[in-house]
Formats: sequence, structure tokens, C-alpha cells
Amino acid sequence: MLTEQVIADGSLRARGDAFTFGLRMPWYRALPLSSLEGLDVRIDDDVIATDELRISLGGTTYALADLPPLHEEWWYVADAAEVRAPKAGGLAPGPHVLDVTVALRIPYIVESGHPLVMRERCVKRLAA
Amino acid sequence: MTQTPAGLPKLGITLFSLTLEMRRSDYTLEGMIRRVAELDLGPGLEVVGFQSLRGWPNVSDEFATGFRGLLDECELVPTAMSMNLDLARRRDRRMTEEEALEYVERQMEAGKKLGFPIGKSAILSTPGFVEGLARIAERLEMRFGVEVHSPESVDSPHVAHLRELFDAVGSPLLGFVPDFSASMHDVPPSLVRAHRESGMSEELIALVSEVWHSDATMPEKFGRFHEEAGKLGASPGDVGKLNMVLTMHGSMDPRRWAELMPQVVHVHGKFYGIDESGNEPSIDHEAIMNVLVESGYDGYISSEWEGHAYTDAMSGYEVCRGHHDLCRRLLLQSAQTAGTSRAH
Repeated sequence: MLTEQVIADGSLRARGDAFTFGLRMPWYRALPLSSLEGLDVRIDDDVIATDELRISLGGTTYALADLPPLHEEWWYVADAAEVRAPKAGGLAPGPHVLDVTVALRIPYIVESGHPLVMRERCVKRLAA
Repeated sequence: MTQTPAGLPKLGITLFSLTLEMRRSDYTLEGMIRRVAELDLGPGLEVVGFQSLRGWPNVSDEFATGFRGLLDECELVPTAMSMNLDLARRRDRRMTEEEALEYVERQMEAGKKLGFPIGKSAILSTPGFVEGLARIAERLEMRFGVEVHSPESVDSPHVAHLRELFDAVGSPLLGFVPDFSASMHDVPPSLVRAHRESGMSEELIALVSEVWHSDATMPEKFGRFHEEAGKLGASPGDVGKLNMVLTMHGSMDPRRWAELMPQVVHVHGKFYGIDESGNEPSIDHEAIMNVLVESGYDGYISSEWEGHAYTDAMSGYEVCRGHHDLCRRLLLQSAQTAGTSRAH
């Protein structure tokens, strides 16, 4: 059920040469930022380069590559992160198909030394 | 709050049952706790620290005072603080034993500050960790329980190993938290319904149910399920969801919990749905309540609804209300039977 909430309803916004949306955690409890292992974003079949995504939480903006050492910083379960993705020419007004896959490391479910990594995909048609 | 008669298990709820309710935009922890009290879902209240408490395990004095006051006002009793041991929170390495103990100790201290007498979490199954844990529990005058959740059962090597470690330390403060998921007799109908509605094929649903019921070891079940699901052309996503059926629902005879009862510090009343006649269709609650009553357990049972993992068609509050009614009815019935048999 939480997977269907990964893209926050009504959160898609055109922002100049970029767009933003609300990213919600597909897990029931807070996780360290080091748990966000992957984020894939497509809009209308256009793949956004992962290293160009920016994630804002609690007033700080990160690239995905910034997150691995941040095991003391927390993503609280009730908070949506804002994801900013570049889009040359901007996002036209009207409906778009946003396709997001998030990879979350579950740090307390560890089998043979390896943590569980959940990959959850959410696709929504939203108006910008 | 309605109490069960003295000497019987007491009822309560874990706010984990309300996982979907806490994602609503109008959610507040205080509002949720007040609603739990209004619906008489106590008196026991369990919370998952990392879920319900922002900033966990940092708990300010002001928050602790407010939280304890709210529970008092609502006539709710803090039962178990559900904690996590995030062994893999670092990307570069796992926690050391010392770090793991510190991690649990901080959460136990925070739980104590909020008035919880019990902490529960997974642990490292090493002698050093268990000795350290016993020292922490003694210092804080708290009990600590390790959950026995499917795919574990009273028979699993991991639980046997923990029992040996606990025996070696000899602390009465360390014990277990049985979770009813380990002792089911069927795949939850609510889960079958949800998977059917999501478009999964009848053949695939029938396959997982048949494999679940088969008399085989877990690795054999996984092997057979994967092979036959592949032949049915199941998508990786559907196979993943149905793997959870095999992992999350154990088929131990519920009467086997009796062996663990002397070391039980808290109980997770895991359930997936309540049918029209007020019963849980996949977990034999009558057998389990009999075990609890016969053992003399008078601690808390936290109603823990996990159907929210696959359906939002039910209200967590309402389904827990139904579970309380079921547990109360069966506890009273069991006590009456036990009393009658003692009288003869």
C-alpha cells in the first residue's frame, strides 16, 4: 500500500527548466539517509540522469551520491522529500506520466551480512 | 478502558496497526492516541520508536512529560517499546557488537523515559551482546524481549540458540515476544482477495496456497514455488509479493507456544482480518488464548494488524476493535473452561 504513495498525489510542479515532486517513503518507519540507495525517475518515457536528481529534506538538498555516509541523518516516515529533476525546455502544463523507482536499504533486516534492499516502483499520471 | 479480569492476559494495541492512518495529512500522534482511547483499544499501548516518534531515540524532557501525561489522561498504559537494531545503517560495514549494544541502550533509555517497562528488538546472538543486554536491562529495571516472528518458530535453530544464551546469562529480565504470525493455519483471505483484485492469476494464487500448506521445509517450498510460478509465467513483482506469503506466515501448531511461555515478556497479537462471525480466519485464536491462559500469562497482548501491507480497504482502528472483541471473548471462555476443569 505504501508503494502507491511513493509519488505524493498532486505534487508534480513545473519549475523553469526542471520539475519537482514529493517522494514518500515506502516503509513504515524512519530510516537513515544512507538507506536511500537508488532513485530512478522517468517522465513521459524520458529518463532523468540519476546524478542530476536533487533530494531536499528538512531544508537540506542532497545528490544521491551525498547519502552513503549519512547514517546519522534521518528521513522521518511522515515527511515527503522534494525531488528536483532537470527537464530541458521545462514541463508543459497538463498531464504527465511520472514513473519513480526507489531502492531502500532496510538496515535491520540483514541476512548473511547483507541488508534487504526493497525496490518499489510507483507510476502516476499527474497534472503539472 | 475496559480491563480483562485479574490474572488473565491484558489487551492493548501497537500503533503499527495504524501504519496507513499515520500517513494521512491530518495525522498527529496525540490525535491517534486519543482515538485509540475513545475506541477502548487499550489499556496497553505499544509504539514503534522509529515510526511514531520523530527524532527517535532522542526524546526531550518536555516531550516525555507530555506523552506520559497524555497516556495517563487517556487511561492508557505504556507496554512495550518496539525498537530496531539497524546493523546495516552504515554502507561501508556492519555495526560492531559494542556499537550494537550502545544503539539498543539509547533506545532502552528513551523507552524508560517515556514510561515503557519493556523493550523489544532483534539482537545479535552472541554471548557478549546478551551479557551486555542483561546489564542494560538490570540497570534500567526493564525487561527485554526478542520477537519470535515467522519464519522463526519455537523450533527454529535461531530461537534455540537464543534460549541457550539467555539460560547462560540467567537474567529473568530477558525473554521472548511471541508473534501469532508464526502459528497460522491458512493464508489470510484478505491477502488472497487483495492479490486477486490486483490482477494476479487464480493459478498463481492457488499455487502459493498449495505450497504453503504442503509438508515441506522452507527452502523446499521456495524452490517449488519459484519453479512452478516460472512455468505459469509469473512476473518478478508477483513472485516477490507471494514470496512474502511463505516468509511472513508460519504454520507452527499454536499449542507449541506453551514451551516458550515461561520466558514470554510480551505478546504480539498479529492478525490479518476479522470475518463476519468475528473470528480471525487464518490464526486459531482459541488455541492461542487457551495457551496464554493455561500458562498464567497476565501481561499484555498488543493487537497488531498487518493487513495494511496489502490492503487499504479496512480501517486499522475498526479491525483492531474487532480483534479486541474476539480476544476478550476467547479469554473469558478459556478462563471459564480452566476454572471448570480445576473445580472437578
